[in-house]
Amino acid sequence: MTDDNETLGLIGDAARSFVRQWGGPARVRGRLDRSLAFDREEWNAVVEQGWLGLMVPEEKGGLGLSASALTVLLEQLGDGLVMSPVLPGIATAVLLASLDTAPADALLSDLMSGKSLILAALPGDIEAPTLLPDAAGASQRGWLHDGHGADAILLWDEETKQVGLVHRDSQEQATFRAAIDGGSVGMVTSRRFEVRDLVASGPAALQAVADARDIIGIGSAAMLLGCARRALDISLAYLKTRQQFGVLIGSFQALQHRAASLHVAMASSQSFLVETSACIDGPNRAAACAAVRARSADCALQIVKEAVQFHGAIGFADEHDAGLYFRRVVALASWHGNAAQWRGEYFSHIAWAFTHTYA
Amino acid sequence: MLRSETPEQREFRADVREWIAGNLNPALRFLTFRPLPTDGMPWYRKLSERGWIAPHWPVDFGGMGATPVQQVILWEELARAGAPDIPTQGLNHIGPLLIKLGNAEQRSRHLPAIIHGDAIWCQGYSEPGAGSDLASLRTRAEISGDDLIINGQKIWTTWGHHADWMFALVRTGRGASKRDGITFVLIDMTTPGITCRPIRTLAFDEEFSEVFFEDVRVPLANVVGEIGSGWSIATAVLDQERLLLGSPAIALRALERLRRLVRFGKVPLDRRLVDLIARAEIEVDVLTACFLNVAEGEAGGSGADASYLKILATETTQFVLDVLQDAAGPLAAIRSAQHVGQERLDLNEMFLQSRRLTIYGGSSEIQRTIIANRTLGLPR
Repeated sequence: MTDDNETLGLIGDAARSFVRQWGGPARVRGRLDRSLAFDREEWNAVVEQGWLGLMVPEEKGGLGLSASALTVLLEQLGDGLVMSPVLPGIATAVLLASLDTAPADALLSDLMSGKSLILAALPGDIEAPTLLPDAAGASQRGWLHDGHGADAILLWDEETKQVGLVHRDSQEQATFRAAIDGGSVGMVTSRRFEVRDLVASGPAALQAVADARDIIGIGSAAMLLGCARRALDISLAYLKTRQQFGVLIGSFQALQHRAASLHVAMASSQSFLVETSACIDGPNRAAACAAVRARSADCALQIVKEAVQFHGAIGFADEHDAGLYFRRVVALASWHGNAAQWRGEYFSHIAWAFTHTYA
Repeated sequence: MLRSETPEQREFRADVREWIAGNLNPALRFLTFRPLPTDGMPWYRKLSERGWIAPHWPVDFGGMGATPVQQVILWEELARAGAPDIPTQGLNHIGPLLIKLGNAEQRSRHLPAIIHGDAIWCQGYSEPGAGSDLASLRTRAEISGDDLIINGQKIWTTWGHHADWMFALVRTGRGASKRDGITFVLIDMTTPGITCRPIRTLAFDEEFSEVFFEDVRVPLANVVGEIGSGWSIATAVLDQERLLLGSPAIALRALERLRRLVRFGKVPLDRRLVDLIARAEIEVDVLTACFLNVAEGEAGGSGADASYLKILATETTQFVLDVLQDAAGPLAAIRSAQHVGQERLDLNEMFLQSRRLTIYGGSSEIQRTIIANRTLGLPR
């Protein structure tokens, strides 16, 4: 399923107008000076847009839109350096909607109305250095990026196959570290849930968690490409104005060919994003979301590294915006695992082609 | 293809799969080289009889009028079955060009012969002094009565020594620009005065040839378009050619070889190799998506930008074959195909052949310069 062009146009317009007020380089710079800053006013503006219900079915009060709307929205928010946890919020809403239990519906309503900021810390078979404090005897662990403003956190317990709520007043269970882009890296651990905190359980809950992780995959791919697209545009403009040796540096073949390579990477990644967003309701959903995330992370990293290099010394100066896009892409590329870790997940979906003989 | 298939598309895939299983000679499966005409053309003609030889041609000219998705399904199934490489200069280059720009006589004479596999075509563009700088070509053609008399030399002519016909660019005059005075002409390869010499490549195959012209008489009726308008004729179908050069057909064949080597060769999959294989799979998914989006954009008249497709398709194919070489480890250099039971496994032949992909049809460097100047607007 894809949304009609008119709907997508409206979503894009709304996102651009949101960015004018709540995004842009200057606002990010302001945040970078305040570690783990969370702007409740900005979040309320997100809530007002109705974006948290973007992919929630209409019967549960959402907009019932597809992944194409998601990618159009998040490309704009990535381009505009919007730091509010819009994607974690949308993924959490998708999770709550598909859990389809009474407690989940109540939490979904709180999230979409802005009453409470509830975010899911998602599991994933991701290896990481053991640097963040783990709660003793924790039986569950989840990752949450840019989610330090959450009032409560949803967590999946692999052992008991349950989704439960971790309250932020029990602070020792959630560790947030400020990230280089003004956002945060969070790890949440917990022991068994109290009965009153149980939201859902069973195989359906497991599937809902996997569905939410798919949304994180394709959504962060869109943010990565939106952010890298801007960095590429800034760089191309610079190649057309900066002079050295009496000529525009964009006339040098060494730079032209590298710029062309970035164009190939960007154009193909954007095409892949469009294609994979149309796969979201099909049998290849999980593979497509992991694939586009891995491809977009590699592409965006290549572009922002070249963007800094194209600018020469001013490119590594903090006063220049190239660094903002660079750090944002580096951070986004690590969300819920890096490109290789998402490729590992992708491979688990296609491994049959390497082990089975065709009929 | 990651995209979900409609019931009609699933049915088409099942049809294709079943038909190939029943019609493809097992001796032709997973060949590591392009079979000679005597071996390969019977398969070409079978595809033609089934109506699948020219998926992208309009139905009126004997094509299939296939949608981009149907084309991808065909390529995927042909790759999966290990169908041999068939000659494509007629199907992908001169055929579409004549459909667009040929006169009625040229169309009725040549298009059915291409569809039925009665004529193999070659392309006479490159010359020893005119490669990337094609407009510097010097093969001369002088008008004499109702004929052109051609003298000169072409080189890197794919399958020139097997071809029945050549479409060529020759110089009939000079103008302000090197591109003026070039004429597009169709040449019967049996005409007296033509000599062919095969060129062996680093992949040990004779895929190309040199073609020499000595007072070769070609009727003026064989000129496509006007005398002197050859450059615009040759470039008029460039977008369509780029789309076909950018198709995932070859990359899909490369990927199938990688899968088979891993599967039948029981290649141990450590983390490093899993990551490389996943990248190879994803890159082919990306290429397929790009082909579909550009082709569907063109079908919808949105004039999608195809300039990046040739680079993407050829570099993707080379990457997949790099991974195949990697998976082969210390066996990577074994010269001939190896067998596990009945299965023929390619270790490096397609890898060696694939060197040419980023060179012919406009090298990757030429393509990047075109993108930099025309698409990105960087200063010349």
